[in-house]
Amino acid sequence: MQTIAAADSGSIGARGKSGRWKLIRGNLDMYLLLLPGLIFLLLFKYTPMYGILIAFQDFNIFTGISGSEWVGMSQFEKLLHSDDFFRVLINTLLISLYKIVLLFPVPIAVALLLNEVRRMFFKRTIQTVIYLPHFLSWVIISGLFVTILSPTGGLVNEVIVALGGHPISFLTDNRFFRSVVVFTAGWKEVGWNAIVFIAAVAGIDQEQYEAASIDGAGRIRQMFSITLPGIMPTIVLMFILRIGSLLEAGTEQILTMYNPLVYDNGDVIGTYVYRMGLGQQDYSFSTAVGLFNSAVGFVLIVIGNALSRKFLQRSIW
Amino acid sequence: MRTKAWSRSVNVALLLFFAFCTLYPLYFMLISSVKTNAELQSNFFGLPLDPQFQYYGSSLNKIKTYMSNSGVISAISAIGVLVVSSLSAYAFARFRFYGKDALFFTLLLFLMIPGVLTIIPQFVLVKNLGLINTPWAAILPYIASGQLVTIFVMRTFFEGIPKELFESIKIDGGSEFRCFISLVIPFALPIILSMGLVTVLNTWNDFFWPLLVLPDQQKMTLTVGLYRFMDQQQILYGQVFSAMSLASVPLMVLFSFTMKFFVQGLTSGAIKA
Repeated sequence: MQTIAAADSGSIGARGKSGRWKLIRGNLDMYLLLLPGLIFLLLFKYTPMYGILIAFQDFNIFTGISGSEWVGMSQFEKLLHSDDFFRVLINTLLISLYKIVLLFPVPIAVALLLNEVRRMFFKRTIQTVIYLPHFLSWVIISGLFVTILSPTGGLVNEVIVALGGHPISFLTDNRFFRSVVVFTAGWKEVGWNAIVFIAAVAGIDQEQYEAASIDGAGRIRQMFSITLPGIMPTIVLMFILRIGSLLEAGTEQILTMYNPLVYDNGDVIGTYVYRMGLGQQDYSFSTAVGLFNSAVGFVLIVIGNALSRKFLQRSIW
Repeated sequence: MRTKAWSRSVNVALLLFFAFCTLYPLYFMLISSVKTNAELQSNFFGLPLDPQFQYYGSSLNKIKTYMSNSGVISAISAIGVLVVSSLSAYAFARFRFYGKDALFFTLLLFLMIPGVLTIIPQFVLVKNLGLINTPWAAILPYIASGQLVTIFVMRTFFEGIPKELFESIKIDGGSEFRCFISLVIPFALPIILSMGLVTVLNTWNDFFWPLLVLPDQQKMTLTVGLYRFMDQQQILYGQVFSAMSLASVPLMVLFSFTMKFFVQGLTSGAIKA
């Protein structure tokens, strides 16, 4: 009670320096509550930010940051001159764009379709079923699809052969690898991503539907004139959030799925950082890759947000 | 009237097709887990003719160390995230203190930093702390990352608790600690459970980080263990699929039963925010 009264009695900014200290001392117990969280934040989130400095060094793990040689921008020059990096950046953007264009609308469609179902039991069963893959680890999903898509005896190729085609080795063929990545990502997350839209659909005022059906609007007309506009704010919000992770093309997924045969089309920034940093112990270079990637990502978010504010009148900041 | 019935059956058919596509790989995993390599080749689609249930015994033997490693890491991480974040969220939700807004903004800022930026420095840090191949190499960073979003969601929820309830405890002479234990915790139990489940799920299924920091055969988590398991030559598919089923089915069952909390946690974060 005392603490609230003390803090509420005046505006924080208006006090002088001594008052500020009194305020901090008076609320020491608050800071005590925050202490564990802050320690974790400082140690495992803030310290690694300082560690990003190794992108400007020729880092040696035995001498540490203070003992390593400073090399300025040379890691970035190496990056800009490496063919690998641009291939990886383009792969990342392509896979990510395919995922957004092909997979973002599907959960919305699922939510709209589910809304038309009148039998609650059927609706709930479908919902539970389509959520399930979200709980599987990528290691398991990759293992499953490697077998299902196998050119020798896998389900999909059996069907292709039965229809008179030739077996395709989906996971070792550069032409198909990206499609496999997009499709399996859809299998895992589409149902789960529908949750937010299902909740949004449930929040629409039912009276609008009654009014519309009195006016003679059919179910399909109602879907496009009431349901879809009703969830549009949620759609836009989710879309902006999705754009924010444009440069995350699915590191874990690709790491568990790919093999050297499809590096050309499948290697993305996350997997590249892994191979350079941990495989070849080139910590400085892979941190530089991460830093460059994040800078590009940041610019993309700013652009996406500006476009959305201009054309959709909605933005995250 | 006729078009209505027609469009309704198209709708049902689409949803059923969608559910079928979702279930088929899972069904495939379960039936293949009891087939020999020869039967997998000759009888890819059908139910097993001669189920080899002993695969479950032998694969359990292989992955039980990994399973208990993952169990320990997920459990401690979830408890850690809940304890650390509920304390912080309580302070953020209930009091005004110097630097509150700045601190909260800092949290949000860290939430937006892409993982790929700090993964190598974080690895170097964990290595320098001598934590490689100990469960703490996974647990401590998991708590540090997990708390960010949890504090955010819990703060929103704690702020929704009516002020009068706090007042009445205070009038009865209760302390802040008492408010926290006997009001906030029971009131927010669904959201607390839901955030705990989210943490369990994320840490149990995480692959990239444990691959870096827990390479030792005895310390590996389940995902990394399964990955290595599948890598081997002379693969015995039945055993691999039974290991996968053991690794995933308990989790799917657990989450089917707790789905309500889960969905609540997810939508309360996304819709309110």
